Amino acid sequence: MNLMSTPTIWIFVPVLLSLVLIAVHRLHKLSVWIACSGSLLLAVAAFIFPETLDFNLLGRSFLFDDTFLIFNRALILTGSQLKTVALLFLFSFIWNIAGLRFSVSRWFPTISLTITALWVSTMAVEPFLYAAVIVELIALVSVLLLTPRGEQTDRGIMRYLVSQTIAMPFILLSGWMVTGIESAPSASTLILRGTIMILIGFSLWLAIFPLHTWLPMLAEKAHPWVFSFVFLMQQCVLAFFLIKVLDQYAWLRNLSGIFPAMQWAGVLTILAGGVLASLQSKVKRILAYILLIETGYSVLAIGLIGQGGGEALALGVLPRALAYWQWSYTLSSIQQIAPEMDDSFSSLRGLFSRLPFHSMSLIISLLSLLGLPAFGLFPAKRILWNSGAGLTFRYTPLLGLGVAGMALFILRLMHTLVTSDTDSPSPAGSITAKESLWQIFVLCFMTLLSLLMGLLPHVFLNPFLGLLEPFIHVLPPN
Amino acid sequence: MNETIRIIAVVILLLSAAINLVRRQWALNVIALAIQYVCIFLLILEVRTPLLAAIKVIVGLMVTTMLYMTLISSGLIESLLIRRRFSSGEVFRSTVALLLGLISYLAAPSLQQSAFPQSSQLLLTASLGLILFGLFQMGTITEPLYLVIGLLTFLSGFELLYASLEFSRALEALFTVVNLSLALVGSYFIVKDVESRSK
Repeated sequence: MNLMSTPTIWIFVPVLLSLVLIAVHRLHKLSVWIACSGSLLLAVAAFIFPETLDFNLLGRSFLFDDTFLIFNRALILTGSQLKTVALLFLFSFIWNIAGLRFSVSRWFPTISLTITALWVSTMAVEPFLYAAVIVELIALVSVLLLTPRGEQTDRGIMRYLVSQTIAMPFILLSGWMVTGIESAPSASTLILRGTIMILIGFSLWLAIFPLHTWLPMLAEKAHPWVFSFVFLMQQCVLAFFLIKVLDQYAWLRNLSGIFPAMQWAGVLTILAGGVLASLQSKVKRILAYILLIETGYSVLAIGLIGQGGGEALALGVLPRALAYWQWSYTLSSIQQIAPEMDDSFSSLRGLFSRLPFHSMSLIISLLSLLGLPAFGLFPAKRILWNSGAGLTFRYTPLLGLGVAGMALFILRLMHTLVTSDTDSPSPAGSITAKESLWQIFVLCFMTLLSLLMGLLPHVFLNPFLGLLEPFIHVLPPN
Repeated sequence: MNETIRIIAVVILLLSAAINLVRRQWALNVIALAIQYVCIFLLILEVRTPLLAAIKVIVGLMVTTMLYMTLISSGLIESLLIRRRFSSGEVFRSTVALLLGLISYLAAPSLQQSAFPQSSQLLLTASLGLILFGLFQMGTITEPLYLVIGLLTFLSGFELLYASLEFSRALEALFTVVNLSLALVGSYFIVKDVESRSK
C-alpha cells in the first residue's frame, strides 16, 4: 500500500475530510469553509501537479505513484487525468462557496465532497467497469441531498434510484461477457450482447431519451442548487467514462454502427429536450430539460468523436458548468428573496421590474446554454452543428427543432418576466426586497465570464483540450 | 452441499421474495427479507467459501435489522398476528409472482446454455427469480419500504448471479457498502415519510 500516491491525495484525503465534516456538520459555516478550502486546495494541487508526478518542493523532489492497491485491485490516477480531477474539485468549490447563501441541506458540504471523491474514484478504479458499483453508491449518497426532509418521498427520486440500480448490472455483466474476446469477429453474438448492454447501461445512467422521465420529476422537488451540482458531476464524468469504455474496448469502437447509434441517441435527446422545454410551465423543471439537452450534446459529441466531437466535449465542460451554476444560483436566489413564489410561470410575471439583474441572469444563462455566439458554449456547439450537418442532412432539421424549442422557451420566459398583469397581480410583483450589491456583482461577473469565454475561447477554453489526453486509442494524439 | 437442501433453499427464497411482492404487512416483509438472505447464504456456498458467504448473510441481516429498527421507531409496524383479508391487488400480485417463479424456472436452462454456462441451473433460477421479483416490485410500488425491499431483492439476485461468474474482494466490499447504504436510504425514506405525515 503506497500512501505517496495520487489516489491517496484525490480520493482518500477528501473522504477523510468528509468524515471530519460529519463531526462538525452542525456548525454549518465551518463545514462549508472546510469543504471549500479542501476542494480549492485539491483543485489547485491537481492543476499544478506535474504530469510526471515528480513534485519538487523547496528543492526536494517527491515522486508520487499513480497506483494504489486495494483488495488486489488498483486505483490508478495518472498525471493526464489530473486536469479532469482539478475540474471536479473546482466544481465542488464553486458550488460549496455559494451554497452557504441558500437553505440547502446541512449535509451539502459533507456529501458534495464525498461525491466528488467517489467520482474521482470511478475514473481511477481498475478494472474500470467496477466503476458501475461506485456510480450506484454515488446515487445512494446523492439521494440524501436530493430529497428534502419533511416531505413525502416522491416518485422522481424513486425512479432515479431504480434506473441507476438497473444500470449497474448491465455495465458489470457487459464487462464480464466480453472479457478476452478482443480478437473475435465484430459480428460475434457476445460482442453484440456486450454492446447492447453497455448502451442500455449508459442510457439509464445518463437519462437519455426516452429514459429521462425521472429527471423533471426530481428537478421539481429538489433544490436547484443541489440538483445542478449532482447532475453536472454525473453528466461530466459519465461522458468521459463512456469515452474511456470506447478507448479501452477496441471491439466496441470498431463495431460498425456504434457511432451512428450514439449520434442518433444524442440528436433525439436534444430534440426531446428542446420540444419538452418549449411546452414547460414550471421553472424548476427547466433545469431537467437543460440537462437532457446537454446530455444529448455530450452523446452526440462522443458519436462524432472522429469529426471533432471530442474537442467539442472538452471545450464545453467549463462553460456548461458555469451556465448551470448561473441558472441554479439565480433561481435559488429568487427563491431565497421571495419564498412565497412557487415554480409556476405565472408567479414570475413582472419579475423584471422587481429583480432586473436576476431576470437578466436567467435569460443570459439560458442563451449561453442555447449556444448563442459570443457565449462560452458557442465554440463547442458550432463544432457539433457543423460536424453533424457535414455527416448527414438528416440531423440538421432535428437539431434545429431542438434548438428552436429551447429558443421558444426563452422567448416565453422573457415575455413572462417583462410583462405584468394588473388584474391578477403575481407573487413576483409584490416582492419588496431589493437586489443587494453583492448579488448584482455575482450575477454580472458570471455573465462577463461567460462572454469572455465565448469571445476568447483560445485563452479560456483551449487548455481544456487536455482533458482528452488519457484517451489515446479513440483519440490518437495529434 | 446436498442438492435437496439447495432445492429447498431456492423454493424458500422465491417464496419469501413472493411474500414481499404480494403481502403488505411490514413485520412479515422484514422477516421474509431476513429469510431471503439466509437462503442466499445457503445457495452462495456453491461458489464461495463459508467465510465469504457468511459476509452476505451478515450484511443482509444487518440491512434487515436497520429497516426493522426504523419501522419500530416509526411506530407504524403492525403485529404479525393481525389478520387481513386478501385484497384484489394482492391476488393480482400473487398471480404475477407465480408467473415470475415459473418464468425463472423455465428460463434458467436456456439462459445457462446461451449465456452463463458456468453457473448452475439452481443458482440461475434463484438469481433470475430474485431479479424478476425485484424488478416487478420496483416498477409497480411507490411506497418507500417496498421500493427498498425491491431494490435489495434485485441486487441480491444480481449478486448471486455475479458471484458465480467472477470473484473479486474489491467488488464484494463495494456490494456490501451498496447494500448498507441502500438500507440507510430506506430508513431515511421511512423516517421522512413519517415526519411528513405527522406535520
